[in-house]
Amino acid sequence: MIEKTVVIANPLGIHARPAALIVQRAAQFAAEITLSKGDVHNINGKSIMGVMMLAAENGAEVTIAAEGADEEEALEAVAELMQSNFEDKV
Amino acid sequence: MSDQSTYCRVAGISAAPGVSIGRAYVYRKGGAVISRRRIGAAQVDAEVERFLNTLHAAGDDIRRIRRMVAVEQGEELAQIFDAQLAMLEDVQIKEQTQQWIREKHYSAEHAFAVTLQQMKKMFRQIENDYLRSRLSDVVDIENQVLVRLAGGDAHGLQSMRSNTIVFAHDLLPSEMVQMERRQVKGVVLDAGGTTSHAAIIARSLGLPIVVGTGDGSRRVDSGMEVVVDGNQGVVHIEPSEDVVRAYRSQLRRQQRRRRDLDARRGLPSQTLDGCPIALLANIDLPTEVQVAIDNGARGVGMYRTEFLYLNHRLPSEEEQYRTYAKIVEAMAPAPVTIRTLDLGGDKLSHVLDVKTESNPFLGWRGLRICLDEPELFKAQLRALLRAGHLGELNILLPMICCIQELTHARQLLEEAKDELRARGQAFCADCKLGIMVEVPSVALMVERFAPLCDFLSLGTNDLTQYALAVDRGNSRVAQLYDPFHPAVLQLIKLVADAGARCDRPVSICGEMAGDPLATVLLIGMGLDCLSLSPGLIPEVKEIIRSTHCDQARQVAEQCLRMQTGREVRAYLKEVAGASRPNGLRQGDNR
Repeated sequence: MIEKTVVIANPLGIHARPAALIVQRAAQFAAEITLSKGDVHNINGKSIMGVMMLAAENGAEVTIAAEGADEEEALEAVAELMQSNFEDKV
Repeated sequence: MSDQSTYCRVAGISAAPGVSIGRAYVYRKGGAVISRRRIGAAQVDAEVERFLNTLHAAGDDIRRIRRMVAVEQGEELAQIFDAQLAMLEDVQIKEQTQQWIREKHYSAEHAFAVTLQQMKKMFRQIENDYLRSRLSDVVDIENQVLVRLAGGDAHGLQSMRSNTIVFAHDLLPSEMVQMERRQVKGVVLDAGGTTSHAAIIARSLGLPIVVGTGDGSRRVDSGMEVVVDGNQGVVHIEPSEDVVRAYRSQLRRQQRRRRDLDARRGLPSQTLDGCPIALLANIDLPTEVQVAIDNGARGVGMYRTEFLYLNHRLPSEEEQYRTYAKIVEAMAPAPVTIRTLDLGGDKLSHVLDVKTESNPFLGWRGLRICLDEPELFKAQLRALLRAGHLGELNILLPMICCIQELTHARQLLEEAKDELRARGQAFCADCKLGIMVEVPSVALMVERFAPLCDFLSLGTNDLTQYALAVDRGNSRVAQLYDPFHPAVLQLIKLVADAGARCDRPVSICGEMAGDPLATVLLIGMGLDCLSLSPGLIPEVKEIIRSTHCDQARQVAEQCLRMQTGREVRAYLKEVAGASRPNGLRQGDNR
């Protein structure tokens, strides 16, 4: 299993639309992806309900863990999205 | 059935004009009956399959609605359904529900309900207001799936008969949109303001809607006869024969009149003595431009941009530019006036740091927010300036109360231009900048404001609220709200006179501009530009065409000298009756 901690850059945090995008991306990998923030652990990164309930606001630190055959690619892909600025992308 | 004792009159706020008579349909959410039966071990696989198939079917439904909305209302609105689709496909919901079915042998509906119960509980604990408010989406999908599992239609809203008036606590955009082309003739909501998604969609569909009734949906049963009066913001439940008859004849007159007016659509909007009165449209959505043109609008007098800001996030400059460009191009060469963001802070809590205010109408709202959040404001200004390059676009600032705000806004407008110049992007450097006159301080000092802006627009709804210190959303004091109050009329007169002296065009864009009872009075006070709901244009034009400016001036002088708003209304009705014996009689009972 590999892990990475990222800081949320999106001004509005991970709200519904970014959450939907993250979940879609995560679903493309076989690896299990879990997210943690503060004392919230083991949120399923492939569940929009989970990602929304993480309530990751701008500046929050989120730890992403991936485990499985394609864990490296999965971790990179999700980490990149988590750190991106969604508001500029229409 | 029409027993006098069951009659009840519910007051609310008009969010879209018109009158409808029909039967109530009370739409309650979570109405599905959940069977708590256990299933046999042999049925587990079939039950899981039934659950998954239902999710698919519900997803297909939402995708169909999304497509329809994208085509008819635009992609911005359609995006509202993306989160719901993702929720329907959520692995956690699927797995948890299957687990309950497999391990506890719960029925699919019971298992799904229990799963969602846990989800909703966790949602309520989220500290972020915006995310927590997505709970309504969770409830929406829960309802759709449960009703389907129970073997019912996906939506009660789809099985309504003709002439249905929908009563609900609140309606989601998905529900509102489904009512189109069906048999719904009007909507009454307990909650909501005039800027809610539901209200905006209803206005664009041309349905009368009354919002903010408090407990309207609990005072009515499905099947009861009701009258929705979207002009007055009133609902009559089980009205007496007399009330129904009055409304029926009003409706018949309106329909007959509508046909007459359609035939006279091409006639110019001018008084009997030849004074042109410009009629412009107030709109909320780009798709309404066509409705405005069809009704004979000579331009857009006020495009309210709030709709763009009610989405999940702030609209980007590009997104705004595309929307504004669409309107300007569709209307060209006629002018389009676009009002900058005018929302209360509470509506923006998902994107800004908003504190609960004890006095929101006197609080952080409209331009005040924009001046405190210059980046948000300048993104809108840049989008407006760019769209101004494509036609005639005027920028209108709401909620101004003092000179500094106007100079500050001008300074930000110049900064926005500099930013566009630095980018080398095409824009219109001389878009006209106007202000809404809706705070009494501006009306009283209008001669000092006028030289600092290019035009003035009277927002009589807020002007009335602020001048009379009445929140018309508060049913205990709403009867004091009266734009015909002589004090309000005097403020309007001050502005009209000052505009003429300072050579600044003055328009009026409040609901009063679309009230046929007010037309003669407004002309008499010297106003020659009215901006109103597109559907009201033909009626108002007809009154203009039968009015003499001299006579209108005399009427206005009389009104300005009166003691009360009631007196003014009574007098105006008398005048209307005398000059147009077959004219539209107001259903006004105040």
